[in-house]
Amino acid sequence: MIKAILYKEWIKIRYLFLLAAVILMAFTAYCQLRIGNVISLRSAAHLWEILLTRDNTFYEAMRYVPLFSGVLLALFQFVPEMQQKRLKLCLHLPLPQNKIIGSMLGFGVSLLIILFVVTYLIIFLYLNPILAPELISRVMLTMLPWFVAGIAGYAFVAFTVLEPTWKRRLLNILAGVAFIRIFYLSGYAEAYNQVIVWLLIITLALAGLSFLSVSRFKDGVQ
Amino acid sequence: MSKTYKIIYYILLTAILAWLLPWFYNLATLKKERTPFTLYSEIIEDFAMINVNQNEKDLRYTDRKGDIYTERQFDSILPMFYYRQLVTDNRLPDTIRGVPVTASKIRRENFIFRTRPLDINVHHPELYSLLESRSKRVDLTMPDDVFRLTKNGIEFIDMESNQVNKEKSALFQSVFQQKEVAFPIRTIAGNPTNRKEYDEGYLFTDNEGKLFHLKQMQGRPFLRPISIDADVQISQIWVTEFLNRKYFGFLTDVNNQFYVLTAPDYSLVKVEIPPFNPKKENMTIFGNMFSWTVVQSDKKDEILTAIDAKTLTAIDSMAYHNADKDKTGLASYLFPLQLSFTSTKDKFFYPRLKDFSYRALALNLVLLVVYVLLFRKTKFSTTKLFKSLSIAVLGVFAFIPALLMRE
Repeated sequence: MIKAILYKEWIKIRYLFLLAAVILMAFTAYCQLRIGNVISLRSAAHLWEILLTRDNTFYEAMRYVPLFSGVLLALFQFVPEMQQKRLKLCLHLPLPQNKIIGSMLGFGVSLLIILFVVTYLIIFLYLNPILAPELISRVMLTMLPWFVAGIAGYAFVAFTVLEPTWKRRLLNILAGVAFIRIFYLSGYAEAYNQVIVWLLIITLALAGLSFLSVSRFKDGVQ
Repeated sequence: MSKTYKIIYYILLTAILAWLLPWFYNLATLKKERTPFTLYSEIIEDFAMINVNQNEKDLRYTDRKGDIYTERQFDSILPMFYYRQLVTDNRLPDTIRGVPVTASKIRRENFIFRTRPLDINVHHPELYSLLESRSKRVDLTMPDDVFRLTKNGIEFIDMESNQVNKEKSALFQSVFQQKEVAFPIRTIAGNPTNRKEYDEGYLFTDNEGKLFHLKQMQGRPFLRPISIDADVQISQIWVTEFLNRKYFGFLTDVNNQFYVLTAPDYSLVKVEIPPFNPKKENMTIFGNMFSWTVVQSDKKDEILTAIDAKTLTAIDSMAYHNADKDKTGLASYLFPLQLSFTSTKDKFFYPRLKDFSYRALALNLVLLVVYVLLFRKTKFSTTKLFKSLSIAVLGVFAFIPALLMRE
């Protein structure tokens, strides 16, 4: 049964998943082209100097791309469920409600994590021959909150879309905007080093907020 | 599951409000804080300051005694600071306090030193550029390599190839061993830029607290141990590289005492100023050949000390106190605490609880009564008890989500 649910989810979001992958790769390639240009027009030393003295990582163009991917993925995964009343059907399947919703959410979060890990790997493989490990970790740690924001975006959009009432949806949107804002509060390099693991754990825990919306939906809250 | 998430969502909303409500309040009640620009005058032997009124149009040039000056007179009592204006007006005296002066001499002797906690409390990649200090060219150039300090030594990395330069690393490592540097290095400071007149490399302390001076001279390492009092434990270093070449650097110790490392004799001289914690306070020094005006400031106070440039002892001091900071604002009656994530004192992001206020307890209790009255018809539950306790402690932050989440 779980397999069938996961297959259904994949059918629903496969094109969007590909689109998100293409967008992420396109932005990654753009940022890496910029790095390549700095090296060919000036020198690698110039690139190192900028990374050592400024808060610039050369990947700033990607700041909101993971968030955009997360939001879009959640919209494509859960809006059809609500519009076509399919969620009601889903909840009538002979499986516990939490298992059904948990596998849907888990599938979405896993796909996002796969996308982000692959992007991270591409960035690492590109930077590895160019930069010292200290600078690679600086770039990647600075980018990490943007990727966690992508998961937060997914979690709050799912939470909001699955919510049955507009009043509570508005509250969920405001809470989501405030929570996601946290990941963009500081523009300094490596500013989030001390708390990023905690932010990731909290964000993954908050992905379960959708259980609350589904429970309200099942209770017939109007 | 949904009951647990109800509580999690309630906590999340409370935390968001504990962050956003005080933030909005502070934004709405933001006031410009300004202390008069003040310098020590060698001519009147007192502090002279420029008072600015609210609309910033009316400037009042005065001194601590209250004597009023015109702008031209003010230039004259601070000749070391306004020497360019005096030269333009052909009013620069030939001698000041019996010492012959020229514009170029004043320019060479003057310096401004600034340090902020924001520059110190920061994650910085531990890679350093070592410039050539005795280059045959007039202008300094940035090197093609950087060095890192490992647990056991020093390593140079060529930036083009991203490979360790083994030959250069071995050359420097042998000198470090010769001079008995104990790794890992504790504190290191330098100014890795070519936008300066000359290069003094780096000052650092090793694992035993010994102070060293590292430079690169014609491709060769220059490493000099600096003997300092064994009781002095250096915590922060700044390489100065001022035009006057009188100092190698400024330093603070773990007791927040401020020192100057004089050049060329490498003496560590204590400067007679109040304790200075560079991780929490700003410091600006306006130095000239006669005196320094040292300005130390934190949130509340600005302490100014006039220092004799030769002996580094205090001549005079004064302080500005920001009385507004002591006033009990409306916020302390509204909010039992404030949550923020960033600060002007560092470049880190983490949750910080501050401004705890017992004055907000009254409002908390009122809100608790309102909550109990509003929900008196709902049956008792652990969730209701949790919310009541939260309101009693966190007041408005917990009250609003309780209302918003009512079924």
